[in-house]
Amino acid sequence: MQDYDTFPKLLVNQYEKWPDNVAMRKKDFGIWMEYTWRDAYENVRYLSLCFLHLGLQRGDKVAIIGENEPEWFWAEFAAQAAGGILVGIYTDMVPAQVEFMFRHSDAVIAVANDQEQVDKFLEIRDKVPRLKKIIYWDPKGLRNYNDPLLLSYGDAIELGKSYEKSHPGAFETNLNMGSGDDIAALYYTSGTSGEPKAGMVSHRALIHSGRAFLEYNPLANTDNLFSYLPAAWIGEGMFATAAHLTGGVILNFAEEPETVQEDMREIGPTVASYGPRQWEDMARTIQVRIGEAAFINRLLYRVFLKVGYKRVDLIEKGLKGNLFWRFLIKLADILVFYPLRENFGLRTCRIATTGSAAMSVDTFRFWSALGVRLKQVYGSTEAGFVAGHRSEEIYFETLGNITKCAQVKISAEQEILVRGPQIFSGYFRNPKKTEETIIDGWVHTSDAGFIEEKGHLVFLDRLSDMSTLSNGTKYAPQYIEGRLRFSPYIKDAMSLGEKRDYIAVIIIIDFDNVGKWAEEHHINYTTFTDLSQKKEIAGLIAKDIRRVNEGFSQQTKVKKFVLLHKEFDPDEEELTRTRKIRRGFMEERYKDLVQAIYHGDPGIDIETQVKYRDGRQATMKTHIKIWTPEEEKA
Amino acid sequence: MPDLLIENLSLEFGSLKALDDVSFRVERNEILSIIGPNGAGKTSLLNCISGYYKPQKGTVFFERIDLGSLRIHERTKLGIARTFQNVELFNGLTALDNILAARHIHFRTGVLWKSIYYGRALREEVHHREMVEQIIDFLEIKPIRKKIVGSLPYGMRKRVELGRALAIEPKILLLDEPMSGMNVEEKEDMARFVIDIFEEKKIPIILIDHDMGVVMDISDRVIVLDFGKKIAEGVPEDIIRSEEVINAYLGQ
Repeated sequence: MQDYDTFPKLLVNQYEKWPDNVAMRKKDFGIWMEYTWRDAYENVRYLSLCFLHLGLQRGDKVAIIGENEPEWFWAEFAAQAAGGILVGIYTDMVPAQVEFMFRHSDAVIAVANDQEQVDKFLEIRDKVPRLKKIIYWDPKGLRNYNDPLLLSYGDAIELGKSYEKSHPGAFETNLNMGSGDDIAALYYTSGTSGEPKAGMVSHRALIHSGRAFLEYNPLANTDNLFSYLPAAWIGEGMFATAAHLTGGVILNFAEEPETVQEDMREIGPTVASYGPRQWEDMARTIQVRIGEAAFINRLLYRVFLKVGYKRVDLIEKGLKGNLFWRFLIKLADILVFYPLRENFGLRTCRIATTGSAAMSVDTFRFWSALGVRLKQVYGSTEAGFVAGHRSEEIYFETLGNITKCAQVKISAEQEILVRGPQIFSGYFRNPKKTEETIIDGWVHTSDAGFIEEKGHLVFLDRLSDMSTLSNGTKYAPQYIEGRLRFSPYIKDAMSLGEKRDYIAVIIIIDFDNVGKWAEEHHINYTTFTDLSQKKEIAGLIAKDIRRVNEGFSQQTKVKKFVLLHKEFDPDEEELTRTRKIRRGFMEERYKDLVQAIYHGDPGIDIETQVKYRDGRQATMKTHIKIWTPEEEKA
Repeated sequence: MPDLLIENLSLEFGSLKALDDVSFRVERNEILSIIGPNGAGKTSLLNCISGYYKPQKGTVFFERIDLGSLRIHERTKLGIARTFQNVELFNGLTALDNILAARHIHFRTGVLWKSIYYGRALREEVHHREMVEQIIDFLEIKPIRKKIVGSLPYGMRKRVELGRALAIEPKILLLDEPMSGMNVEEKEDMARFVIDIFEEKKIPIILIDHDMGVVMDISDRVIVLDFGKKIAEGVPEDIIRSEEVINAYLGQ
């Protein structure tokens, strides 16, 4: 394994192992065209020689812009085989952005997809004097371009072949000069402020991330991956490209960006990677389409979705279920879920991942019900692939296990620090930022998190969104509230604690679920207000709070809570219309209550103005009790 | 040698003179536009060329062949292809099938062979499918390849119709208002396709359209019709300046 420490060396290794196996597939002229490892090897070899012919030096940058197609990846490997560095540019970037990246990276050769992208380089050519050639692989619309700067992909390959005759062995020499510490690519991150930064990522880092990904998500050379996320993004480099080269996973490309969904259905990939938003969108699409479906389809869906949720319950309890349930779940799969998943190319999907942002539990459970277990993938340009779920250990509240190669440390500020062979090598031409990010070998991720007792990494929030207790301890208000809302008995929660001694929460009970629980336990109640102040209910909620508290350090445990006598209401401006809590307003509105909590009172009488929808106002007087989670045992 | 030669063409519907003694020629390698107000006889002229109307007087020569006695499908075999003002496609078929249907004139195997669908018939169908796929690629309609044409937006249907005309492997292309009812972006796309076809296939194109900007931009020559009469002919720059044309059509 030691010998294959760069992307192009891995490619050569795949070629030597199975030259005639399929490496890539691309739909063209309505047919799936297959490219073997031999095709890939030969393209990379001659293109790499062409780069040498054009005068590419070790360490020079090659900018690639285009849709995900075999040529994109071959150009990447060819550049790297010649000792060059990839600079991926996003297809939707305007010429000014292309110019910035091209100049900033000091690139010398551009590889572009088609006329649209070629035009961008021709527009900025005067401003980028180092640009030697523009190689394009789709000649459509370019037949009248006679610019000497342009070179077609086919001609480039020919140039490479003739270069080989005059310089035999040049490809191998350059290939063997490469080492894992060489920079493989510059990945540009937009950065929340100021100019974009270019993360320098070495072959070693990418390969370690890729191997770790494969270890968590075992894939072989018969597995299909649908590559459609921008190839200029590190996610595609770390997972798709690395899985392709280290595991031999087949990359498949859509005919056009518009045909991704249809083409994906035809391929039936075994891996599916989407962001949380896309998973949520797809779930919503299913629900909307079912709403429009024929009566019998709707009926089947409703009945079997319940069976699906039963499956989720069983998995979460770690049970297999009896024969009856196992039969019903299989039936649900065959009758409803397989056809549903088929529509999104998820029928054959074995591994489904999500990452980069938090996803709602509802979405997670919905896909689980359909038989798609979503796994987290946590990583970044700077830190590489850090943590992810193994198939047998999926918990939606965590990011999963920390990978074998990554070392994770939580700083005093609760920042996630990462070390290991998979981290990046610094920002290109930005030593100041590099020093701020890599301190003593640890990458500072700016993410706050902690490691819970199973050893899983948990993401709290961006460091900048954390609140601080009076003693300086940081905590994540939204994370606490989010975790509390996982409970079926808690509808909403608002945490207090900024510049105070400890954390307290104001909780709104879920009237339906708590009411049902109360009935089952023979607890009498009249109204929401009455129910919310029952001691038994406080005990019920305290249990949930203690469960959430388990994951926190002594300092950041929830120490007090109240059950509010009414729901948060957008009509009373407590919530925004998108149901986000308006913190400032709330702290003002309930300042007596907040004061009482931190004063240590057992309860408080509060009066609130209630605005009815018809405009009338009334004053409500209620006694609200203040509880301590550790004392209230149901 | 002109590709298309039209001499003294007259077409009457009862007492209405749709075309009145119209003569012109279309050279190889030119885009010729026909403009004129509504009812000037532009579409009638195309219909006379493609064989939908039989003119009372005059002759149409295409590559020195007199088209007078030929019927529509025979003219199609000569390589005269057209699109229609109001898209005329098989609405129940897919875009792919619509274009493939136009390959009919190039099929060599008979019904019997095809029903066996083996050997020659199979090879032939694969060949034609390849030709169709090249057109689909050329016109950038891959995403709608298998969509039912009736469900497509208007601009896309126009493109499919153009694809069908190309499937004939035309030697001359007659386009009847290919850009009507389109937004600016769709018009630009269509204009680009027209130019691409012209440059790549090296065939003459006769174009009818009301968008003066596009017409003046892409045509080599322009003919102006008014009440069935040809009132002007020339390069776009001259046509724009011509008094007669301004009075008749472009407005004072």
